[in-house]
Amino acid sequence: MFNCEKRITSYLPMTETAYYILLSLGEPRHGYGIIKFVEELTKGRIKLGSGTVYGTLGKMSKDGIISVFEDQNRKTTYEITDSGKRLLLIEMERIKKVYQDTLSQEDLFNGKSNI
Amino acid sequence: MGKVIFKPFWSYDIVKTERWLASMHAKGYALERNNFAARLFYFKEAERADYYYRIVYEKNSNGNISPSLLNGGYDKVCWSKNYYVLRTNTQNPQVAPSYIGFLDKNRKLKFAVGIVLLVLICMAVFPLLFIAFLIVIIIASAVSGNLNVTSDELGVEPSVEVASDSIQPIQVMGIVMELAIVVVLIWLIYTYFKLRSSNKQLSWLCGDKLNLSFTIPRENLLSKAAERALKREKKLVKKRRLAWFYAPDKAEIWLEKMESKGYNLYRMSKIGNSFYFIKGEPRAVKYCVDYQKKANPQYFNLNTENGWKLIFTSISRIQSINVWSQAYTDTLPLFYSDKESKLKHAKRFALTYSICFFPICILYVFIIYMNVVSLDFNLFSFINLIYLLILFEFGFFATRTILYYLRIKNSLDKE
Repeated sequence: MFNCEKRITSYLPMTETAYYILLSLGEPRHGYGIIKFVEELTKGRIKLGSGTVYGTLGKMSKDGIISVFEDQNRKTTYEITDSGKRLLLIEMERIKKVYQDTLSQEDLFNGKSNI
Repeated sequence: MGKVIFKPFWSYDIVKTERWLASMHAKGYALERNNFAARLFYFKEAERADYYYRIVYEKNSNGNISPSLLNGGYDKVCWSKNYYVLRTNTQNPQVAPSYIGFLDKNRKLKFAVGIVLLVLICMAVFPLLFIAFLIVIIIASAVSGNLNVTSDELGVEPSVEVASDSIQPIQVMGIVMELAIVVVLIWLIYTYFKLRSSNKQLSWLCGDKLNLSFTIPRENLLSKAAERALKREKKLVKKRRLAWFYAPDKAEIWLEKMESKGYNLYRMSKIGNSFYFIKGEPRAVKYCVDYQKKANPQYFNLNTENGWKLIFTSISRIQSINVWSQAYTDTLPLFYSDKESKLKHAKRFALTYSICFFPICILYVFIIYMNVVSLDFNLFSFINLIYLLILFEFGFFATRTILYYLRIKNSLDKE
């Protein structure tokens, strides 16, 4: 259990790539499905390279963050595990706080502030 | 009554082991639990039934099995830290566990065993060659009459006193040692060839779609006649490059430059030292020379789906070198889309090669030093020159990979 926690904290804070890969696994997906989904979700802002995705998926499954199985077409499909979900929720909380802090301070920098 | 069965090599042919588990269940013995480390399978008596068994290797899974598999009709039989066993009685389940864990693991094992065998063969062959060389010299000189040695002249006693009848413990030790060496050698050879055939099957089961002629995708090859015709029209250009993959970024830039000049790469030679171009139109093509610690079928499938075309892949899927290309119009396709993964990849490449090559360099420095100091060989004698050449070669390769890493690091820092 301790090892598991240690593995999770080694991912924090997550890189944008790792975060979006986990975020795309709300349902099980193929490797290429992940790339497509992230591109659609970010409206083309993030185009993941296949080398990056392969490397990240390999590391995540070694750490028990995701697991693999084969779908009816015998294609390898990736699925988030319970530790993966825990990791993603921790990271989401952090990003939400970052977002709130950003909103509260934004006006001081973009000239819209009344002060 | 239950049964305990010892299967020492169960993981070498996983499909066969799974079939065996199913046949045991059909005979009325259901798997109860495993001791994977001790290679023991514990069975309990059960009703005869048709079940399909699947053993899965998933690192750090700790029995956390994906819900999709459990919903897909699989039951958990038993599990340990990295393995779990599932069974189902559905004929054609919608989902199935993947063999990818076993494929990666067994490929790694085969690679390690292969290296040990190679070292052993070298160690066995070189002394044999040396002995053969000596025998040839002795025979040659005996024939020419220069050497005329008999046992009398050497003063060797014709017979040696026979040792006492009782077997000395030291002799027993020697026999045990020799037996152990033979057993280990047989085990290594068995492991290597068994894994070679079962890995092929696993790779196919994992969705391997590669159609290779040795290291080159078959679709890239032209017929011999077509190549001859191109050569006659002087449209075919062959360029030889040695040790290009120790500086992957330079090779990429060179290939992209060739494409922009209208030299279209269509294939490489089988050992990967020559590049074949057809003189045609200038194209915008992105190349990627990629090193992977392990390149499994998912690697090839994912890159192909993402628009990359395979040009070359090394024979080994462990420590594999791959060349990919993608033609583009406006946006540059990226194999590694973020800084972290690009830098990590370069670091792993440089680290692996320098860890392999620098110890070899040190070994050769030591050998040359010993030759010069203890054996009084001239530093520039023939044998030392060969050693120096090997030393510089490995030193050069390792230095190139480190320079590559530094170039990537600098270019990313500048961005």
